[in-house]
Amino acid sequence: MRRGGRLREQFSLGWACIFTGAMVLFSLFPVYWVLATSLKTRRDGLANPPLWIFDPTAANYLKLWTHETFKYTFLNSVIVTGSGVLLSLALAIPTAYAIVRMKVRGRSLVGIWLILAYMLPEFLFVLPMFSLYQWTGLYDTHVGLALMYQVHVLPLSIWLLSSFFREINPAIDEAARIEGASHLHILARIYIPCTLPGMAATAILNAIWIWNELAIALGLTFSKAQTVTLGVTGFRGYAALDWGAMTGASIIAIIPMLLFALVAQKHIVRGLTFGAVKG
Amino acid sequence: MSDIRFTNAHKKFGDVEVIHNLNLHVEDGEFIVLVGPSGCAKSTTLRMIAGLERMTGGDLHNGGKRANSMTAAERNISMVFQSYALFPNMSVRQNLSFGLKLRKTRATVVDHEVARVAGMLGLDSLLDRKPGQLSGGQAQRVALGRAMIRRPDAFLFDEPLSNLDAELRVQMRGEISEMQANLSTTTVYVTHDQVEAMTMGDRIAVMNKGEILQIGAPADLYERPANTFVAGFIGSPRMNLMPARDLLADAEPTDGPAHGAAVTVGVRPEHILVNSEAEGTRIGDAHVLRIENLGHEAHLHVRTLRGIKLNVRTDGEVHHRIAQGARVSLTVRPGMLHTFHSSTGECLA
Repeated sequence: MRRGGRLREQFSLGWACIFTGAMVLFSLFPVYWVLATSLKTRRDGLANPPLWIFDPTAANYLKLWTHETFKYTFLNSVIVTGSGVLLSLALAIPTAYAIVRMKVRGRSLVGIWLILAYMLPEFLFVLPMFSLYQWTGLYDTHVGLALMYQVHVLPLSIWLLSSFFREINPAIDEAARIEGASHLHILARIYIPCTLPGMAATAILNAIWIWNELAIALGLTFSKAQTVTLGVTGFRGYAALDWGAMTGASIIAIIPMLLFALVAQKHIVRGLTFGAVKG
Repeated sequence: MSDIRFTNAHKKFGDVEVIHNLNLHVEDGEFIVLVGPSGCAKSTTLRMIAGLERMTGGDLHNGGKRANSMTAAERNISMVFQSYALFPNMSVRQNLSFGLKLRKTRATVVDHEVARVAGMLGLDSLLDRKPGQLSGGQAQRVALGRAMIRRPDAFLFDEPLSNLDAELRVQMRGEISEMQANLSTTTVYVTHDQVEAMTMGDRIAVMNKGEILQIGAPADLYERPANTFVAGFIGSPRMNLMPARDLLADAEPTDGPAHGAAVTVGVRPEHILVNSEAEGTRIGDAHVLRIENLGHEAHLHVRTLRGIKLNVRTDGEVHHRIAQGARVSLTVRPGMLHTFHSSTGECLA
């Protein structure tokens, strides 16, 4: 009986391993294929049937090293992502605090709007904003992009931060108020330090989304503020596609977020499973 | 002078009025306990004093100054919460000094005050710990220290001992009482535990449904409850309350009121004598349903021949004399029968 039970357990474990392995392979295959293509010569890359074994070359990466436009778009992405994340936190932190802890009228309506705004496709906002951006001079600027990204990342940030702030015992800010602290002081000295893992998780999720965004960047930039996702597509010419450079650029574009996610993985998991703050 | 005075205070949450015409004067240096069942608005009353809830009517004066529109910080009051409400990201030292630093007190003074309070409460070795590393009792002491360090005009306690185990609760009860006696700071203490109320307060205000039903010294409330609610709430085990006719129909009352349906009588379990020839109001015979022996005392649950259940408190040796199921005679000690109007519940005597 005991032996039968152990066999059944091993059988289920075997299936679980096979299933998980298949899922990992399935999701990593496109990344592998992009990486492999970036390391192939032009002829190997276009071979039909595809080549599984080839002599790797760094030529595509060396080409990108000297490709001014790509370097420029990469830098633009760093600027837009950094400023977009900072702006989203600067706006979302006080808003989430007000929603959670202050008796603001229409709090429930704000909550519904946040979910709706997050669910709307980002391209929806691009077309009506195009002429406004041209008129205000925000078109093709870092500030314009960082502002436009708030339409998507701000609802998510407010929603996430609200849930982290709700974990804090309200008696803690009442105690702080009695001690003489202002709301701003409570936010800066207690709420932000207590929810740092949540803040980090929010910042990382926002950064990943902004870094990978294409539709808004395509609609609201032309040359000066183009981001790395547009830089990658820039290797697609009128008559030909430079697969090697494009896949190499994709890999380079992935690396910052990959490193970011690896380093901050602990924070993301801790932040998204942020538990009760022991008072 | 740091007395607290409510005059015709009202509080509404939406359309629901939770406090109706509250009048209460806490004298300077007095320790008053607000006691009542859950939902009686005792915590709301405390929060109105603290400035955490706005009154919807009436006046509140702190130290003679009208405080209705003062912020919590302006009132110079300290509060200890049921959940301790320590700042989880700060050390014990930072928790203690939080209020002083906000008031821009000089660093040397802050250090001196932290050392003084830590010494008083035995927190010296815990100053660098975070709240998460403290036991319940230690956390409660830090909360007390944070309340004391600013030398406030008044202390407010919102069920501060509810999260502690029974032994620690008794210990902390003593420590809070001693602290208040030493500092002579006006104190308002909210609890639903009538033992805390009886043992700690100079006066007790018994609240129910947003009203103070009786206010007075603990002994007054115990000996002369103003109504059936107070009679039932103060005292453990609770007072036996029943229509006079049910309890006394077979008896020959030697004191107390005439029988009648309009009268409710109350008798405390410790004022019922078992198998005694002593003078008093005879209740008659009863069967012992159950004996709860606590060692130093015992509680007899009895049912009279008319079917009325009573709780009797007697000495811990009773089980040597009386067995479960035995028939006993019951007598109320002279002068210990309380009488109340059946419909209003008000005391008649």
